[in-house]
Amino acid sequence: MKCSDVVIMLPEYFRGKTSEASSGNISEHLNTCSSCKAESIHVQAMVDLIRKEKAWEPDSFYWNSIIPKVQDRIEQRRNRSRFEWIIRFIMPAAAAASVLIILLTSLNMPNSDNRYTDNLNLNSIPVSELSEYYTVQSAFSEFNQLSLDSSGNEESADTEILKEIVAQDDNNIVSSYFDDKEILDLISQENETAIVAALQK
Amino acid sequence: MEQKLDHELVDEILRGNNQSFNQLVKRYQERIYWTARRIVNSHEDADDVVQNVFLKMYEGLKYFRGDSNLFTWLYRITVNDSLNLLRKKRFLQFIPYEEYFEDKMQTSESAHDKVIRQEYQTSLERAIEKLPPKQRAVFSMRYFNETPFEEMAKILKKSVGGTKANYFQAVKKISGMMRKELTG
Ligand SMILES: [Zn+2]
Repeated sequence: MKCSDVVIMLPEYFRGKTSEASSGNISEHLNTCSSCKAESIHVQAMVDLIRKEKAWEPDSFYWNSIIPKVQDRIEQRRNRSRFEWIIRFIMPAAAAASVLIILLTSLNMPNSDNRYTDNLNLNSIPVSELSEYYTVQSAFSEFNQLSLDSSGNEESADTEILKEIVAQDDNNIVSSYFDDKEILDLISQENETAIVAALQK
Repeated sequence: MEQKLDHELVDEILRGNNQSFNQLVKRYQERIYWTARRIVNSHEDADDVVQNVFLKMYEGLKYFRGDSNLFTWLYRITVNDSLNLLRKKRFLQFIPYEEYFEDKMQTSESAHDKVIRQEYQTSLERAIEKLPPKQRAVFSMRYFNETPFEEMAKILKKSVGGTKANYFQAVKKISGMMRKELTG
């Protein structure tokens, strides 16, 4: 087994979720490979700790509240689409309709989907600051900054394993950041309106 | 009582039976909540995602093909919705705390309860907080739901190799942070 195959399976191995054959191969590998063995100690500690920890859980009051909340929102949406329908067909003149649209947008209609961006006043944020968070460089540095530890040796060993994992596939790890590419592009164009629109999608 | 199959319930909903919709919500709400919660790492945000997912389910049911798996579909929406929420929140970090939390405070949970709960945050949750969105998603999908890498790659629209690399990074970081906490 290759080191890259082993390390990726370690959490499942310690949780007893790997097949008998894989478990055999992994333990055999751990007996002979010191770097994977070292890695496995940390993973095992993580698995043990996660097993012991109990996350905060909502109670039955919460679980029973979901259906009413969802039903409410379905109803809201239904009313809103009815409202939109009226607007579209009652106003025959295109000119009149456009006046109304201007009015409506200024009314700031409640829309739960926008709640995270409604408060966002991009005018108060310098675009230069925004792009700090979304530069391609930060994506790359994340790739390079593999280990929390500053010990140089461990880091380079990681990079090798990571390269190997990625090499098993045609694409490069950088592709994993391309989902944000649209927003990245908009930020580079300093197009604030479009950024908000993209976020609201 | 015999459990109705998903596609039977879907048929009933499309014929206007609201009760069947509620049955589907009950059936999947916990799985969806925990999938979201382990990515967004907060109860309030997970609750938002849960509501959005069921709203999308309601609106999308008419396009649902009987031969595909309903939960697979919901699972994909859940992961993507969670990631979108995190992405939006990244921008909100620029907004003064009070302004952003003003409307959040009016949720069912009181500020006091919230403080209490945060005190009981697990070390895993503290570690996840520090991961970038995609690593959170990949770690949570793999560790808690045992989602195959191929499926995760499909959901996240990226390569299998990239997904594995993300998972490797996440495990590395989380175990590192937990180790630090343990050893002080
Ligand atoms: Zn090895």
